[in-house]
This record gives sequence, structure tokens and C-alpha cells, in this order.
Amino acid sequence: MRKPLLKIVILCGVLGLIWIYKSFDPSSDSTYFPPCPVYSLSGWKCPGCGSQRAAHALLNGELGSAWSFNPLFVLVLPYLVIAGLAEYGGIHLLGKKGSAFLNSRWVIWSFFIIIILYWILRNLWL
Amino acid sequence: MKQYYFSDGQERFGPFSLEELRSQPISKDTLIWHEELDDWTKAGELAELTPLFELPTMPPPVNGPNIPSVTPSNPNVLDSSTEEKPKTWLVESILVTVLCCLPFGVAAIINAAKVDSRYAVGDYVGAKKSSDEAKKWTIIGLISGLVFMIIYFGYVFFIAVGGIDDFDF
Repeated sequence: MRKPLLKIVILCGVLGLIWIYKSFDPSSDSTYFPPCPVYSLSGWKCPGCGSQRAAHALLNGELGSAWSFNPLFVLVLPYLVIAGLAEYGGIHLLGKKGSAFLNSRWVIWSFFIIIILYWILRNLWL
Repeated sequence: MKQYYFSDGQERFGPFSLEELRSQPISKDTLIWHEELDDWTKAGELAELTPLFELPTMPPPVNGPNIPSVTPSNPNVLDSSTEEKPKTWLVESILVTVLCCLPFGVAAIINAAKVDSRYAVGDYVGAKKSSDEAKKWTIIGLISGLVFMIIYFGYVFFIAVGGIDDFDF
């Protein structure tokens, strides 16, 4: 990640995706948004189902409906932003020790357990 | 040729061949590692090392270039203070799990945890291996997601074109 050009391309890609997901609603324009492969192949909801709709809702300030589409997405987003900035931007919002903690096994196993539990539970009840 | 590493509890030395290991100051309690071992193992527990302890005495230390000690050219064996933790790929793993909808992300997360666990006990070689493994699963997840998207959009395009055909004829 030392190549500045690659960083610019990725940044443009991220900004482009933000624009697309803010402007278009995956619920109504569903043809132009790919469905979840796991769900369409198996009929089981995966931990990521609803992330596109949740992203659209969040970008339009609808936290509640984002939560109802995919609470996991809403929960991991702050982590992804903070850890992603540290990893790729060199910006340590929580300090260097904080960034190291974000990649510690306690955090990783917590994510693992949350994701697996959420995966099972959302197929049972949600 | 199997490459052995040993540890004095603080620093790691190696790689050595079995023959070279004879001239190193190791006892039955010295921790040994080679590629086929999951973890550091006491030398006394490795069958192939038992002949080493049957020697009457260790060769006396000589201050000369003929004693192979630390080989700094090997990237696996660096001083612990300078060895950085390999990338865990956790951010990418979670992204794959949450966005690409593929369980490959979960395989990557398990390896991300192993990177940290192995790094914490000083197993840098193992940590690097787990890091590569996490990277592999992240990339597999990403590529599967992209392939699915391409197939999906190809399908949508096919339907669109098919629809026009139906309309025209």
C-alpha cells in the first residue's frame, strides 16, 4: 500500500460506491444490485445479507432501518473505519496501542463468535 | 534437508541442519522447532535428536568464524524486538464476510486470530504462515464475490437483451 496511484484509485472507488449506495435504493432497483450469493444459492441468510440496503439507509441517515436490514453491518462499520484508517491511512484514532488492540486475538475471536452466532440466530428467528 | 531452529528462551537461532545442530549448545530441555512441528518442542522429545545427547561432551567454544551461530540473512530469524507482527487481514476478512456474503471471510478471521496468538508466543514463522493463509482466504472470498457479480450482471444483461429480442420478433 505504498503506491500512491493505487490509493487514489481505491479512494475513488470507495467514494463512487458511497455515491451509488446513497443515490440508489437496492430494495427498489434490485436488478442493478447483485443479490447475496449464499442466500440465492442456499436460501439461508448469511451474515452479510442486507448490507447493501443497510448501507443505503445509513447514507440517508436512517439508522433504524439500517439496523433492521443488517445490525451486524451497522455494528462493524465503526470498527472497519477506525481499523481501516489505521491500516491504510496511517491514521491511528485510538493511538498506536489502540490500533494494535484492534488486531489482537481477543477482538478477533469476539468478531468470530458474534458473526457465527448472528449467522445462526438470524436464520432461526430473524 | 530439514532445517532446525532452537531457542534459549529469549532468542531464536537457526536454521541449522541436524549436523550443524551438534555444535550448538543445546540440552534435552532446549526448545526446538522445524517445519513439521506445530509448536516449539523440547529437544529430548524428538527422536531424531537423541543421538546428540549421547555425545560425551559438547565441543569447547571457539572464537572463530567456523562456528555457525545466528544467520541474520534468514528473514525468519530476527531479533524479537524488531520483528513486526504480520498483517492479520481482519479488516479485509470482515469486509468480505459482511459485503461479499461469503463464508470464506470466516475462514480468514480464524487465521487472523492465529496470527496474533502465534506472534504472542514468539512463533514468527507460524504467525507469518497464518497471515498468508488469512490473505489467501480473503482473496478467495473477494474473487468469488467478483465472479458472482460478473455472472449476475451477465445474466441481467442476457435477460435484457433477450427481452428486446422477444419484443422485436
